[in-house]
Amino acid sequence: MKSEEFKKEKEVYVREIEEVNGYKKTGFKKVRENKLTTLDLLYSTIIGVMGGFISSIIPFSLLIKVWYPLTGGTQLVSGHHVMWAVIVYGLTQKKRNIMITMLSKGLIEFLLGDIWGIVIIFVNIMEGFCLVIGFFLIERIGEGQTNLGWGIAGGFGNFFQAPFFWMVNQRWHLHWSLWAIALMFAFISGILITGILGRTIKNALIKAGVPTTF
Amino acid sequence: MEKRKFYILVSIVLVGISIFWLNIYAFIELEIDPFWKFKNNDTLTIKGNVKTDLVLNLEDIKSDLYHQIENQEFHFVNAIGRQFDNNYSGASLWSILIVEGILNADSSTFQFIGADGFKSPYPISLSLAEENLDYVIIAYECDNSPLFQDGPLMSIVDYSVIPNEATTHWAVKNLVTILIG
Repeated sequence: MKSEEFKKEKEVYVREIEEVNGYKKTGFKKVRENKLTTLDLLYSTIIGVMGGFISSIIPFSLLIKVWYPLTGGTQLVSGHHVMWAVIVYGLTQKKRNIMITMLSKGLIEFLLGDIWGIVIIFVNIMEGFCLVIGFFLIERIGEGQTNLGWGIAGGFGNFFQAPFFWMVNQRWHLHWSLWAIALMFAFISGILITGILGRTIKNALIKAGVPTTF
Repeated sequence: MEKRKFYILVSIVLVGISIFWLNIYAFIELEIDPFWKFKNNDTLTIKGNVKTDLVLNLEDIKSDLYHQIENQEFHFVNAIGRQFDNNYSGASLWSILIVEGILNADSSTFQFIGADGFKSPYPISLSLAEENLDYVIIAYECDNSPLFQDGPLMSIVDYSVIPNEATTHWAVKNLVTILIG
């Protein structure tokens, strides 16, 4: 019954728009049907591609190598890899866009010759998936719009890659304390850079007039 | 103070304390100098099952006393099987050990350790260094340029020396210690 009402309401709305403006706004009024809008896809792909270029070309590890003395310290800045998906989620509020952003980013990294080859696409998708789980959980506990909530979701999103790369790299022989520090740094970087910095950038973009799609 | 903020503060303090003590523990347990990044790290210590510990600096390692390898191509395989080649210059490890005469009769293995706590996966036989004089080296240049972030010294082992292994694990950056077993 509700969907019939909605369809009728939508038909009237679309007719009004077409009569007044002569065109139908792309993706407009689609949210309730749970479909992605053109703007959703544009945000996801453009920001994903941007993130792919930055992750591949800019050696952020230089920042941390300057002072941190233990191996694995670069995890402290690893959060920037997933931040792009958080920005897109903030602008669209659709979890599928997180996956599209990370897939776009992974494809660019792969095409730019990442040393991990096709594995980097899998890693990006898994990071996106973990971020989706993070957002799902924090929204369930009522922290969906807070810095704390976004920080924890970011922590989840950035956490996957650290143990994955260390295991694939077969770093079993390294001391357990180095493992512990690297994993903690990955989660903290996820909180600070992926979650909180991502949310701050998203807020700044919205304040600057970037249209949202929710 | 609001209860929620109190819990956040407690969590941050607990994580901060854990990381601080984990770092301290790692520095002590792995004998790492926390300030090595701010120092000149051009010294290499060879210790363990040797007659006397040997300390060499970059100039010593570059000297003609030891067998020098110049801009030679080395083949690498990483943990996921990706292969690549790089050119390195350096001194042959075996020549250093023999010229200095520090090995004991029962010295049998060697392992590389970096300043940041990274080390090669396990000790390998000294006979490999002897049989592959030109392919187990202490490198100081890559493509005729200093090693910059990876150096000033780095261990390099060619894939032919330890086939079926991820040789990138034996390329220890910021090399400071060779442990003889």
